[in-house]
Amino acid sequence: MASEDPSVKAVQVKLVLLGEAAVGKSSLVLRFVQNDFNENTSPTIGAAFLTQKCRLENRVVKFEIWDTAGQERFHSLAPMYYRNAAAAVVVYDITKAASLEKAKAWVKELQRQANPNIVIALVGNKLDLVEGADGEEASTPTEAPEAADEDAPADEDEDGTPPPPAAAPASEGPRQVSHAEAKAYADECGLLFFEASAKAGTNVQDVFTEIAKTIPLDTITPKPAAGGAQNRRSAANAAAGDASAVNLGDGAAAKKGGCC
Amino acid sequence: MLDSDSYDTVILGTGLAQSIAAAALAKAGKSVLHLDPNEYYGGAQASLTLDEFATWAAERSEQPTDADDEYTSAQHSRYESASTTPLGSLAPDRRRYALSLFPSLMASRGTLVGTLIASDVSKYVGFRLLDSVSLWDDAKGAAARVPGSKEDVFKDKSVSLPDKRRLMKALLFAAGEFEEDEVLKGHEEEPLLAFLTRSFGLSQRLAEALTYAVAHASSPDEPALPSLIRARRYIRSIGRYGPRAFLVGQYGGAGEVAQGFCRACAVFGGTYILGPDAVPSDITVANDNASVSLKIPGHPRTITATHLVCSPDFLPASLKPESIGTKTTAYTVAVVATRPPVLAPANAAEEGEEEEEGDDTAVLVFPPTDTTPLVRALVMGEGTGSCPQGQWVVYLWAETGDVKSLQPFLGKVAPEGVSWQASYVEHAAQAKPAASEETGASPLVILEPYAGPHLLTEGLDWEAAQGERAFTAVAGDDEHGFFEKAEDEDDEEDGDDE
Ligand SMILES: Nc1nc2c(ncn2[C@@H]2O[C@H](COP(=O)(O)OP(=O)(O)OP(=O)(O)O)[C@@H](O)[C@H]2O)c(=O)[nH]1
Ligand SMILES: [Mg+2]
Repeated sequence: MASEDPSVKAVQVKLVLLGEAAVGKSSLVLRFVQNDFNENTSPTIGAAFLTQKCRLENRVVKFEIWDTAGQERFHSLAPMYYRNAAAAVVVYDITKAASLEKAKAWVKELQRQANPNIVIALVGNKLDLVEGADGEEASTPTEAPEAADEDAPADEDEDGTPPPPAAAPASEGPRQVSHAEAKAYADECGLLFFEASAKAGTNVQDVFTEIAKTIPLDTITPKPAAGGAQNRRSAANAAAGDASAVNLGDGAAAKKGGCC
Repeated sequence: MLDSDSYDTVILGTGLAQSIAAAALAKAGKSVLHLDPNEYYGGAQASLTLDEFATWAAERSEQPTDADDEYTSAQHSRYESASTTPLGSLAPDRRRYALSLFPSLMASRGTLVGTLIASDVSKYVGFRLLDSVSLWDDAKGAAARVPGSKEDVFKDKSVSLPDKRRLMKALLFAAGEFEEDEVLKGHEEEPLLAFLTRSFGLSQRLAEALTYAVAHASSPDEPALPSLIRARRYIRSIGRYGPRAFLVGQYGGAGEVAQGFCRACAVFGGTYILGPDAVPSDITVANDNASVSLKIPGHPRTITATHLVCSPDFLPASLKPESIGTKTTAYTVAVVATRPPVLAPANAAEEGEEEEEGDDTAVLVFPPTDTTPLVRALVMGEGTGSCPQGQWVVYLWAETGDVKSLQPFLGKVAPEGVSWQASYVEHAAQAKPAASEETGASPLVILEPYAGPHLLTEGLDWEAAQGERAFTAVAGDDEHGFFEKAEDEDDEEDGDDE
């Protein structure tokens, strides 16, 4: 990333991921945060949230990325998950038509539950799998596509178990969701839209950069004592003008004890 | 449909204790299935939006039927006279409220704060220092702030110098190792109020302040020793995060904290089902006492678990622990659109100082009288995420079955009237304390809901202790301790500057 500029303070932004299981949510984050890809990712385990900065010309946005970690499976995401989220990445798999329907359901849920200013990006992942098939990107995949639960019934296919290591040969058929169809839906709902590949790295950085550009920072920048409730309370903004907010982890510094 | 029919642990209810146990067990590598028949997280500790609260109250005032599941019928016997006023003009913003079924504060040095830090769930939940604790002064018809710390005592202009000295002496005593002190020896069972008046020469008003607003006792008869032990913990909480002892959790507190632990559980692989698909039935302990089985509508086959963790509410009569009584409490929750007087700035602005904008949170205690029990009020403003700007949430509760008797007190906290109000009576079953259970002896781990008189200051720590107890009952001498960091586990997520 660009060199440190101490004069620009990073603005912390909560970003949530949503989408059917195995569409590649965690893989997109891994690509963005560590520029890495892992063929055999397990269903998300063990990361509370990851952070990554995105530097633009005039601002530095520090994404605090919340991955769903299985609570979405039975639609049991807690309100806490949506709370104060300034951005959401809703992911589907362009080789699975049903995953776009799930994505649409998540967009609805966001519109119901989340802050009305939330910036939503719709991302069709696994673009690498249809390279060539689309004509415009000519190369054939060099690696076997990962085995997906393709033949599971459509409504029960969110199998959270990790796919067997890169086994089943090209069972992941070609594209099932056209660029035009998804784009039309995104435009209609006012969503940012990308097709991307976590595996190849295509467009991943762009998703986050575009979100960073789009977020109306005045709605999330801490305003000291300005009474913007959202800002006064978030733990992340504890230092910014809210004398009563505390960071529990800081208590260590003040362990010395009582008053008397 | 679930991936698996069997789990290390199935947990029923997403109350705070259950959620803590769930997160700790998942972190220790157990497979956890966490179920809640409610559509919301938090169970008896939930934070509800206005519309959720209305539904909650309506469901609990319906006629019970024979078809009710265990949990529903337990809710019917637990809650009584639940009602809410119409949403009216608050309807469009109804989802911006977080109203707690468990109005409570977190002592800065207590069980929960330690668990929050050890588990990293503190990253998910915001806390603020409680701004003030006041005692109602009936003679003046107004709330009077109770000085909680040494500095407060010195600043307080309403206390004479000799009284200040006596008060300081009493506070020092309560903060110290009084167990062996001659002053207390032989008087451990004496009511705290009488003990303070007699031993430190405190005026009735100051002794009441210490009893009800520092030790947070609920009656003049509470014995000295346990009250002093509580007071010591509260006094020692001062200074950890600021000049006051207690923290207020954002977005309703307990319910939000429970959500944080549930998220942590999910992050470590726990599975969550909420709502009608998660209503348990046919809970059965296997003959060999080695497992529990149950059914839920959301899964076609019987689910088995090595352990089942739940509150008594979920259990059929044959498995319920013996109840040794109930504690009845009436609650009122109100939304007000005028700043309650108890939040007025502590000191009028002095020369050169900026006008203070007033407090966001307060506790107000109405001492018991001959005709009324002690009544507590907890007031929260928009800074706590409980309500939109320019509004406040008032909780009032007292040990009584007469919910109307709270109304005059509401008038004192919010003299300008209220925009919305919920009222209900809770009969909390006091379970016979579980005999010190042998770890792993029973596949059924029954949590004890809080049924004591100190909900405000002890409720959260009680839940945290219950959560840890459940973890130990399940995991026992497992290689993993309660939220113990694994050897090689680094804070990889946060390698970033701040
Ligand atoms: N070919 C290809 N495979 C991908 C891509 N992104 C992810 N995958 C694979 O898809 C599978 C699922 O990816 P994850 O990132 O775990 O998906 P997820 O959405 O986080 O899944 P859950 O955490 O279970 O909800 C893994 O086997 C990945 O290797 C991609 O861009 N191209
Ligand atoms: Mg994932």
